[in-house]
Amino acid sequence: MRTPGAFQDFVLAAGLLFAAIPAPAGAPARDCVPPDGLPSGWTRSASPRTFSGESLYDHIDGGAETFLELGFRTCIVSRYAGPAGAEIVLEAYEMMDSAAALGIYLMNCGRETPEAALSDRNTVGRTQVRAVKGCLYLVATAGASGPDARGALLGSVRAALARESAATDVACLSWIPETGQAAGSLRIARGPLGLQASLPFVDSDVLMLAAGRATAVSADYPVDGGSLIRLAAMYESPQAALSGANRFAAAFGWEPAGADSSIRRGKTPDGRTCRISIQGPRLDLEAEPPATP
Amino acid sequence: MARRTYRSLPSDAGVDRRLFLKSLGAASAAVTGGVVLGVPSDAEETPKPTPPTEVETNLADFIKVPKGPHAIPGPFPGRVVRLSNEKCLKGDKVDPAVVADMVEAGICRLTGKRLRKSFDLLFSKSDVVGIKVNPVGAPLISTKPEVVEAVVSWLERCGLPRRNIVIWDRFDDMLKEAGFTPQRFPGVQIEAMQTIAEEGKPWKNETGEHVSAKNFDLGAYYYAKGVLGKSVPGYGSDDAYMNQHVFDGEYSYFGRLVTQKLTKIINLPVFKNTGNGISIATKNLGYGVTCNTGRLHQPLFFRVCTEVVAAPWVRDKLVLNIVDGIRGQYDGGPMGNEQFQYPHNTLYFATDPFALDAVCHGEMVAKRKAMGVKVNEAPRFTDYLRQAEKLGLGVVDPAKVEVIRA
Repeated sequence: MRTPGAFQDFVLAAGLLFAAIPAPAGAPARDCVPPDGLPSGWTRSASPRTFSGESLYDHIDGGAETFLELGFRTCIVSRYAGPAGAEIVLEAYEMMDSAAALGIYLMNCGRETPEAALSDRNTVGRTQVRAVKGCLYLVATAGASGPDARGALLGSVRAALARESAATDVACLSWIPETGQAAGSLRIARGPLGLQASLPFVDSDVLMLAAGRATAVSADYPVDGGSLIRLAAMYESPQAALSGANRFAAAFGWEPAGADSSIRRGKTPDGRTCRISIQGPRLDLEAEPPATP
Repeated sequence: MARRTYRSLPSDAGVDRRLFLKSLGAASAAVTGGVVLGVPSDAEETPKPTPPTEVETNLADFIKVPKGPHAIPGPFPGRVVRLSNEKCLKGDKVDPAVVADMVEAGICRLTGKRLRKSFDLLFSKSDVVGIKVNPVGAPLISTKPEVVEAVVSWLERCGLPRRNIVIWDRFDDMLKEAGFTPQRFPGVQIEAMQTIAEEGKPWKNETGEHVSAKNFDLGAYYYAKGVLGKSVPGYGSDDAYMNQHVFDGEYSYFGRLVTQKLTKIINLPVFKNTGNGISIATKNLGYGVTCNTGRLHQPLFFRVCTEVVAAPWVRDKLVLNIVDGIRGQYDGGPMGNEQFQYPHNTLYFATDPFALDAVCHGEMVAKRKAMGVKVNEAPRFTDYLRQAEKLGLGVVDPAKVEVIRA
């Protein structure tokens, strides 16, 4: 039997070999999963499972809707068996675009603990690795039994990332200030579920993000008395942005806007002072911390 | 408009609900161009949102059926026993002896009786007892086999033959992945309601039916009219959907296991979240006893947790719920997410699954806040609990729920 140290060296070497596999340009998720016959003792232990939009609920029963809302194409789940009973599962999600992939990553990464050995955005734990690149969102998880598989987790993710040629290019991140963001609060939303996570006082798509084909980015900014929430959304048209603002204002019973119709102000159900401004297809929202009772 | 406030479980839920609906009404008016703030009506040009899916279900049919003698909320409505022991985890490993002690102590605290008397209160020796586990999220956050072993041991010592015990979930592959195998549970039945064929392998029989179609009772269904043709995300009728849902259309059929084989059900869910909600006792059954559930998530979600559990085949057989909170997960659920997991070292016991969900929801909200996760406390995340209370299926009013800490 191999010693743990030798085993780790072994899987790290395997990871390097995984990474050497050339990546096809614009590779879809299926091609980003390391294939059969990989060297170094790690082999695929079962046929990969493919989940489409219609079947994703059976892989993530109760959580698939967050993927679908952001924009999901397909998911390939592959299992690999290693020495001494080790097993890892690699889930490769191909999302509709970079913003969708980053959005689902941000929803799941918490306060990131990145590993420098991975060149793309990632968070690494003891039994799980998450990473994002281009349209690809990856989750590698170690099995319950067997030796420490951290090296294999990193290797499999590194290999999959190498097979995705597109870089993460998410323009929406520049819509809100990077400085002052609370760690782990950055979110991307395209519908009610994302919006519920961004704005804790809404229970539906009150900004009409889905209808207006909008992408919204939000973050919290610590201030005296709590956190200010900033959200910026880009709609498909100025009219869609206006409709989003109107619906938001109406949902919370705000008074009609004044002469400057591009500004809305009012209170949220949890007692925040909120301001919305519209400029063309762009909507900006600021919600102050709830008033102290 | 009066200012609303959100609470985890408002005692006068109707007020919040009415105001919420009023808000939605106002919002709808805005969408259709009726209410515009400082600008001309844009009714002609405004992109129309997808209309909310109006779904009609057969809940009323379930409620018409008189309750059986063991129907929820059972003998202890509103009672939840919360039992913690930090010795149940040694690093990542579950200590089976400590867990067994916790299970037995929790059952006795719930019933106020010794183990044998507790068994007699809830079961007979001729029962066929289904243990519904939650394998989603294995290996990080699924029901621990050690908890199931402790329950099986109790049942067996009280005279229930091992062959009368069925560990069950919807999917065969998930059961195996979560450690529920014949090797680990010899003599106990391990039964999935359906199989999912691996890619490229056939899943239809010679007549074109799904190979698991016979496992479902076409006379027992949850009807949800209004889903078809409305582009519900996740719903389809193609082979990918059919492989994993067995049937499409407007009916979710109950498994024959539940309607015909089992006489009692023990529910063993996990302490974890589903987005802003929880994924605990009633979701484990609401989405675990029928096929064709993919179509239900988007339009109904938590409503299913009340309405499917209200069906006589579940309501009248569910006698005990034990939440596996040995490890907890406060975000990223229902899939396993190491980033948000922690040793919670706790088991919860109740005959009333809705009281259990109410208590766990409150604890989950507190944990999320403590960990800096933004919490959305809109009424929609707990409306299903209040609906259950109105239907007499459980007690969720905080003033009436009794939490026994042990």
